[in-house]
Amino acid sequence: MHQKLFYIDIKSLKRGDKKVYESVYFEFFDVLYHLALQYLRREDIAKEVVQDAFVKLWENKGAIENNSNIKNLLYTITKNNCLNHLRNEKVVAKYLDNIRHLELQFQYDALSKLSDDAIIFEELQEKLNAAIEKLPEKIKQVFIMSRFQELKYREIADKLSISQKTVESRMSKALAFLRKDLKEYLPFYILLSEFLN
Amino acid sequence: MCNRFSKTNNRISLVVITIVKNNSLNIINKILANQADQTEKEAFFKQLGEDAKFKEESIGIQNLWHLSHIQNKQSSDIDKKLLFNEFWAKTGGKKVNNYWIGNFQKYAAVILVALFLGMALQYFIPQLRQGKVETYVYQSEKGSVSTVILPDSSKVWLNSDSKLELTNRKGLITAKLSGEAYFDIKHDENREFVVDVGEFKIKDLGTKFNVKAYECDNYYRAALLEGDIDILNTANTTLANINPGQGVIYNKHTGKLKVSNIDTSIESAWTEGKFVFVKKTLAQMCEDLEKWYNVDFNIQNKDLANEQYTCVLKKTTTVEQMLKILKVTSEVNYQILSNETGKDIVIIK
Repeated sequence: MHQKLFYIDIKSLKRGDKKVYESVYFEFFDVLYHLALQYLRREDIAKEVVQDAFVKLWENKGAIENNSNIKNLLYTITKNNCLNHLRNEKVVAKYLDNIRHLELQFQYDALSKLSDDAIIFEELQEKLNAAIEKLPEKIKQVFIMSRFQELKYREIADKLSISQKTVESRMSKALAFLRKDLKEYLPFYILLSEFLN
Repeated sequence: MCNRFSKTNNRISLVVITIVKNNSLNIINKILANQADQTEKEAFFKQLGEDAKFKEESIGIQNLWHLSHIQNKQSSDIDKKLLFNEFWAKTGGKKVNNYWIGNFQKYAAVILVALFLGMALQYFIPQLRQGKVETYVYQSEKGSVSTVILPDSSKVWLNSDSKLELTNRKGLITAKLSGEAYFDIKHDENREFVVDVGEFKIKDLGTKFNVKAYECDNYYRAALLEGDIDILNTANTTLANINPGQGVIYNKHTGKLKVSNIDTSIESAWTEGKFVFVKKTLAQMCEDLEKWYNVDFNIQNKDLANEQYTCVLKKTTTVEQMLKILKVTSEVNYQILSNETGKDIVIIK
């Protein structure tokens, strides 16, 4: 993945120029939205959270420095908005549904472990892409169908005429390989060499 | 792999560890793909709670899982043009006709704040972004309190099992209330704020006041803490002007409205997470507690039902703790009948 150059006219941004906000909005909306959607799992709330991030950027435009990284700002605000949302949802779930509460806690912990820096976040994404490319062909195929094409395990099994157990097992292997490859970026404690061999 | 037993202990333990790891990965995998059943989920979260390393590892895999998805989702079929216009309207960059509503939406997303730990909140925001929606409905489930903040930073607390319907029409905001709510309304010459409980209305003139109008109760109450309110009948004729420290009590059976002095700190105590009962009969207390705890009280001893109590209860107190206190302070015995399909029943003997 090559880095796209995206120029932001900070002075116009500080002035509140509509054109600049529009270009920033269109440039960053999708990646922020998908970040929020992955962790919040609800489209309406993810949209709301990202919308709110842009509103916060607008409200704080006076404090933006000439060398501020706008993408980083938006990324951090979105991440924090998501964390806040998960925290609130957790409070509700605590009294209603224990499993749901634990799930939300799990999401919350994972998101809070993500880098606060959009640059590192992007770097990680690039490394991940490279690692996916290196996966053994059959494993890669299943992983891509699941994560990129959003197919259910059942659907993948049907398409490839293999059992759902095999899909599960290949996905587990994919996760193990990827994690090994990205161990500097993601928490990695238990050695899996035995399993991988 | 399970059948690969070896003679040396060392080997066996290695194999066992491998199996555990393999299973762990499978379980994480299933959890993430949302294909784990309840038992697997329970087992997973149990292990997560007990094993810090396993937790770290799982978190790493979860992030990897999410990132791999975000990575390849650089576009979406969302109408960004539309969303941008909404964003722009919110910033005030462009004046739109329904500005109040536009701004209202912005707050609708962030208005609901948990008041204190131990209090759950639930809310329903209808049809956000559906263009010109003029009515907003907020609802608090049993056992929860929510707050609604209006664009001018006026604030409404909505008590357990209550519903608020806000309509903005040409400078008149009507708040239809069923249940209990505490209003802190900023005065604004350019708009009127009227609370409608069906039988009568409360016209606010910049104030803090509490309204309690549960359909199941025999009396509706409105109490004024600060400012000025007018009580109107359904035909909008002013019936009374209320001063701070006063309130009105409406008897639903006789249809009569009475103005009286009211201890306002008691009326608003629920917004601070407390029940305050002053010389209330056990039956009256149970009426309030039923709404909060979502249980039915059945007082079998009629003498006891009319006994008066004065107490302050934190809302985080469980119904069982509350009953234990009651048992210690008076000759009360209780039994909780759990009911799988509906509310639990508390029998007080």
